[in-house]
Amino acid sequence: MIAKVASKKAPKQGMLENVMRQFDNAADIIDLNTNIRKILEVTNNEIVVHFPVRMDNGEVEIFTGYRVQHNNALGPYKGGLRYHPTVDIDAAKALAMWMTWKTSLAGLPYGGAKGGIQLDPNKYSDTELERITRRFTYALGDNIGPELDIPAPDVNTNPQTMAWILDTYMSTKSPAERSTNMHVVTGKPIGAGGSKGRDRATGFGVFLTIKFWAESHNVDLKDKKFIVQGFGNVGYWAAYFLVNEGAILTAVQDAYGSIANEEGINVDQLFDYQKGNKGSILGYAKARTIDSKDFFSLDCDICIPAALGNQITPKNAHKLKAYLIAEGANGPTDVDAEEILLKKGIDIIPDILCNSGGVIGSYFEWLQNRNGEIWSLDEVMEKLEKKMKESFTTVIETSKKRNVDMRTAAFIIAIERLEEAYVQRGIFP
Amino acid sequence: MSSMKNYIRSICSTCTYMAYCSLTKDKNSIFSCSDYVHVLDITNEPTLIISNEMASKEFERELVLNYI
Repeated sequence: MIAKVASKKAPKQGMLENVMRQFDNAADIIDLNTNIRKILEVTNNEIVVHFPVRMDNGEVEIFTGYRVQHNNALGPYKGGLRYHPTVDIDAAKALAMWMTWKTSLAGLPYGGAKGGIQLDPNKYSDTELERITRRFTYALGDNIGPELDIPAPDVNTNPQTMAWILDTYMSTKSPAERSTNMHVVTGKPIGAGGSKGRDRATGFGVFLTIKFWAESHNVDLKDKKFIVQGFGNVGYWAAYFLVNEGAILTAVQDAYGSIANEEGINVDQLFDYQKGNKGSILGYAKARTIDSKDFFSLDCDICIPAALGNQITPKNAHKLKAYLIAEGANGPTDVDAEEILLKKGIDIIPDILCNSGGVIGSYFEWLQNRNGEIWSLDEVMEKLEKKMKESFTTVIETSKKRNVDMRTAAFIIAIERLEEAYVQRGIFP
Repeated sequence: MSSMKNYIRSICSTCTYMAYCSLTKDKNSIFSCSDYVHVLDITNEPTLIISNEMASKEFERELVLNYI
């Protein structure tokens, strides 16, 4: 029986478990005030709404929507809205907590939130999805707001969804107030108050953290070989900017398979090929197809997992050749694999820092709407670089000062900022 | 919806690449993915074009999900 249990496959680390583990680790190191720990361990508000929507066939269907607001000590709640059958309170709680650490580390005046509707968009027409979105917005009412809780796109929601939320929310306000509410959501289409550069913000941020790491370690990125898992929004832009810096993209993996060419893969040619090939990179003439299970063991200097979580595990960690991992995705390295990598001397730029360009881009959109400004692409990119540099420098300095890895340092900074806010403001009454 | 039973708490259950995705074999507990594409996104064009910029190459990339 014991042998049977021992041989059983270890369960995959869940989101909430991972977030809590990282939080506890950092909280222990800084000896976080017990009362503040109690506050941060729970969510402020968990909103569940049931609302009716008329379907195209005339029938009325009841939907369940969620919004979890974890913490707002540093500013309005911020986080995505997703439409998926797996959306529930527990999933939203973990992701909301994650957002609190992320916005705090990025030095943004935001807290953390997450939410969505439990549904499969495949089952509904566009007009039904629009009515569902609008009715959900109405049901949330004043639980969201430009200075209270600012949703953004997530799984199965996009700029169009945000435009519907904006329009519905504004419609509930008096005419004089309407234009002052443009910043109730971010990730809007550019024509409806969105920001330039929002599309590339996450990928550019990934590139910047690699660049800053290279500068701090006296590494020249020219001719350094890198591999990217995921050639979507994040992977593409990260690769684009790295190649512009002189680095060489030697392998790419997407949902269809993996390709490699040690001489280099042209990022824009691959993007165009993928676009004309039903989204697949396979068959690209200037690279060979390789077995996906060998992807992470390819010879390279930098590895960018920019697709999904739990990709680097104890199974493949020891095979990694890169000396730097830049986590473009959320949670690509599991806890046990990280231990192996750190022992091997491989540096990891943690997801909470590495992919924070997206939420910083959201913040810029919010600021522009709030101040009635429209920034040029160059301005957005310049400000993003400045903000990312501040975050990176603080993490590196904390890492050295406390003799901890970059992930632990990032969590320490995020939690200490929240602790400082509570200590200075006190707890009412 | 039988896939929902196989993939616990995972967005993979509604992803168009679910059957043959090469990124991961273990499709449980996947809460975000840059390659996630809902079947709907492949078959349907955006329903609303507000500006020319939205129709640009850049905007098409903006439609790719997982902002945060």
